[in-house]
Amino acid sequence: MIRNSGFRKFMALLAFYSTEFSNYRAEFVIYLLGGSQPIIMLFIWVTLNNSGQLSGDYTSTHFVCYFLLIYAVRNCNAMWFPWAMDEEIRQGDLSFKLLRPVNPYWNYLAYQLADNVIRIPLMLPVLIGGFYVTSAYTELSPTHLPLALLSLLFGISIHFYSNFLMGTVSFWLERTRALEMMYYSMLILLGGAIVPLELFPDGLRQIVMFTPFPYLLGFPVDVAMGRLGGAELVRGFAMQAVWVLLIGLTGRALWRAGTKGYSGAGA
Amino acid sequence: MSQPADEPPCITVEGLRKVYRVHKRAAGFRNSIRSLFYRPMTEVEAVKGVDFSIQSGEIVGFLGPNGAGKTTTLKMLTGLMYPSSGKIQVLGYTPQKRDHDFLRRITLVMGQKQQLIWDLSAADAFALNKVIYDIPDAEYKSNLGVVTDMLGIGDVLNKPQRTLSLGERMKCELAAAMLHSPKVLFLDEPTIGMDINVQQNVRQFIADYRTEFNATVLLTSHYMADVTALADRILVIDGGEIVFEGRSDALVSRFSAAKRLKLQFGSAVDPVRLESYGEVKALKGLTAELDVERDAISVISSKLLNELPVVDIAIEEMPFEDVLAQLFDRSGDIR
Repeated sequence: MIRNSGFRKFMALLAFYSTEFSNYRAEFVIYLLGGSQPIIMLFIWVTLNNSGQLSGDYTSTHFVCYFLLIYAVRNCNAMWFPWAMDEEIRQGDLSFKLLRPVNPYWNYLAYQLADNVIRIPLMLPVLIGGFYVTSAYTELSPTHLPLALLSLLFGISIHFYSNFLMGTVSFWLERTRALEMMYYSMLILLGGAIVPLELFPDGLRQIVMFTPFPYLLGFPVDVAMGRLGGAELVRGFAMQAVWVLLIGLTGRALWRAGTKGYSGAGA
Repeated sequence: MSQPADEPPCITVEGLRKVYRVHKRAAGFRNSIRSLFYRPMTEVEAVKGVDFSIQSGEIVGFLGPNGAGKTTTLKMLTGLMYPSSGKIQVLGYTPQKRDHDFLRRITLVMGQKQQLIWDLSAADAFALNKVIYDIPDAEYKSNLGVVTDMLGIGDVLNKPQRTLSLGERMKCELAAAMLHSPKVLFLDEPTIGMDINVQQNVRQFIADYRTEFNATVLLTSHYMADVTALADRILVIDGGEIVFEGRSDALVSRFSAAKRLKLQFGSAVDPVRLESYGEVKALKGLTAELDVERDAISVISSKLLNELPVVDIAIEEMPFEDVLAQLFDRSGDIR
């Protein structure tokens, strides 16, 4: 799919945006410290568990491990390029990208991944430190880690395509912030960032598992902790693939329609 | 610079139209509430079926008042915008397909828009463009040398954009847009906001670039000096239609019904009496400027010489700006 020169272009874009983002490393550190909602949830759930109010046989380290991983996965899913798309489309700066011999799609992918390139090395010491101090690594299932990484990649893809899709909506709506806010809330709520997926009431859980949100956050974490059986794994990966395709293709169709009607505002 | 007559034009435009659909909302709070629920759409025809062609190596000035359809036309020519109807060919390509081979051969510079990134240096952006435009090493090196020399930006290339002055930034923008040695340059207000020195610099750059690369240039500008200094030919668009196509001096003689008489008197003259000869544009001490109908110029001049204490008289074409301003005022009735 990517031609050789296409790949070179993509790597150049990735290097370019990584250079840009490396200017903001202090900001990244603040985000890492500030994006601590999973850490708060960690303490809440450990306290709940210790008070004996949870049915099921959970240890405190289970919740520590779960929320440390949620923290890590959320840091792989930054969310600022739909804002950039929204700005570009409304103000007409997209024009420059459209006039380059590289599809702007690769710009956005590079933009998303450049964030990971900068953020993950900063986040890893926090994660490893957390596991070391709490011994929560004992809850990880080493044999499942390769699969967990794969599901993380699928999750990042769903997130990227969702963002791209929301970005393209800017071709028709003048502001897409509300949409992004809604997506973000659903992601936190239904993705397993507040309540672990396996503690959802059964009926609700069955519905939630048809939405894309658990596959971005809770699912890779459950895989890494070896919580899922063979059938659940197969179903989960199948759902991830379906969502990648569905959201990806919709975004692509909207992008084509949008650029066709694009007027390059501001002149 | 000029091409044999049988070579196909670099740009041809036939029956080009663009219709926008916009929603109409009257001003005011009540209407803004209304518009939450009801948005009537109206169609605005920004470009109404224009035809023109431009030869390779030509510099054409594209003029018109605000909202005349200049930028819309430019956007369609670069492939940013789909025409509602009509045909465009640029270097044999259909722009709106945005074929990568086409995009490698053109550039668009919009003076009021920036593409370089605030916290990065021009050198970072240039290096990216080298890869994006598939510029071979040798060609990149030589182009970079030529362009930075012409613009005199060698010593600011490695500084972050935010530390540069406006003029330096705009020159870096221009350089970034030229590294792939485009054959066709679409320049939309390339000198807007620049001070006079930088404007002259950029003007010289465009002229040199055309000579060096035999490039075709379509240029819009509010600064008449840009156009009169650079353009071989001008196109005037107004109300979405081409109202003039030709050399700038031809525009002046065709559309200005009057010529301007510059008079020097030996003694004071009565302003009221002067008005009986033509439209008084200026009267200061012993000098005056008088606009007189083109047909009546010889009769009026000899009357003035006979009847007033004229010591010197000069007959001139109207200034280009004035003719354009008049043209835009009344282009409603010359269509």
